[in-house]
Amino acid sequence: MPNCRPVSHTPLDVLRQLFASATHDASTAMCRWTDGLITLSLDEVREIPLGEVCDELNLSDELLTMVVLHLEGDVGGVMILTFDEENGRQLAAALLGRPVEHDDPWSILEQSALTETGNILGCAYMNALTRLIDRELVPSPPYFLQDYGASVLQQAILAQAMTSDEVLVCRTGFHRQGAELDWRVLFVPTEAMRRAMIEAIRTAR
Amino acid sequence: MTRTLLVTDDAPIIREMIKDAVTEAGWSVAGEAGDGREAVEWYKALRPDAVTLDLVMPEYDGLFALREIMAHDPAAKVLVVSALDQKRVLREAFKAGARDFLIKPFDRRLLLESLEHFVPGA
Amino acid sequence: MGQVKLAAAPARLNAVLGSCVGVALYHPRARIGALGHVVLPRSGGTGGGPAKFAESAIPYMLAQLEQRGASRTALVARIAGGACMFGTGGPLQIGDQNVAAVLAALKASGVRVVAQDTGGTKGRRVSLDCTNGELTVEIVGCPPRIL
Repeated sequence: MPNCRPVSHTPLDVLRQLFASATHDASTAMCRWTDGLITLSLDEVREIPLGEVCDELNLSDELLTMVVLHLEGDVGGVMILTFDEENGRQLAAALLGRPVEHDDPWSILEQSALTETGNILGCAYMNALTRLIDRELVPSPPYFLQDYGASVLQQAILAQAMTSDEVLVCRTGFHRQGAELDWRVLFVPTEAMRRAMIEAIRTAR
Repeated sequence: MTRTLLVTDDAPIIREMIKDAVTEAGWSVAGEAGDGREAVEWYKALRPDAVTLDLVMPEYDGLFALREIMAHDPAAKVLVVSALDQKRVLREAFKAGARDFLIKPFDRRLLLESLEHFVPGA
Repeated sequence: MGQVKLAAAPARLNAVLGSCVGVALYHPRARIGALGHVVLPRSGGTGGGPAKFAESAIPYMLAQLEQRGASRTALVARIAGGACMFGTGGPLQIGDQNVAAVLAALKASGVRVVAQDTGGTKGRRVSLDCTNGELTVEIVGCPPRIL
């Protein structure tokens, strides 16, 4: 990763610790939601130059199925779950206990299976962050999108783009019985959220 | 007599899961609501024995519905079923009159036990 | 994002847009084009290169094209993007402001806008053909539109 630049060792390590803890809680919730099928792992916490963020996160003009949640307010952020079509359908089918449907468009129940996955995962993540930084963090209801990955990411990183030329992104991967899946969770905190997280951990030490 | 339940969640998959669980246990699903306002309207119209209530919903959320339902019927039996597990939110829900709280993803057995606790069967 | 690409015929310049606005400037005689990817209306003192903000991106693009021999008087503009990806009730509704700021900057620079495909809630994939200046705009689920 040639463009991977740490914020500075200490703050980035602090953020990694915090995100690792939140990812652990989200993984536990995901595991329960999918009857032990799916777990999560923290892949990376990085600061990426604005002009390279889509390429670095491998989000381009590929059509993706996504669930988006946002946290309003200064101490906020955006969470995006991305799935390719096939894996998204597979998860929906597994949750609904039905065979995989291949016909378009997605049924209301299939969409609901994915958005609720986003809700459970996003809330578990925010519940953990709430305990760690002692702030109420209530995400929006999740919404379902099918669009170009880069288009959605652009909107998600806007709050950071307003104050900085680099974007802090936390990327989480999914695993099914140990095998990595092509699904991801991206969490893009606002600058104020990032400061709150660093401060909380430092105060706790 | 059959116990009646109003199921409130913006996610149809969760409404289906709750409906399946309670129907098997002998409850009758009187109605289902997809947001806080619908929940209040259905509660007033149906007067169910109990309500399951999600908190994060579009437009009118669960706390709005809880306060409205409790203002209309202080004896209402509301079980909050939400993925939010945050002290301040829970405190607010209990203060507003929630009888119990279940975190999503929920265990079917705990859902039934909780409902049974405040609306005992015959 | 926040960048400008330049090319001459027969090359194509591509971008994927959400709330950002793609500004395609084209010189028909020189057959040179530029595609800017504008992120925000104005800098407000925050960091970033000139191509990131509408107010500075247009003068920057004009200067780049002029250096390549494409005089501004013959340039035409086509713009696309400026969507609200998270719905009209979602956070950071900046798409419309981006479009307005780009149009204002183009007007101030005296560049004629010949076509635009902006707004809505869907992302766009755009491709500028430097052979003829056409900007192809694709939205998921819709047939491509040529501006």
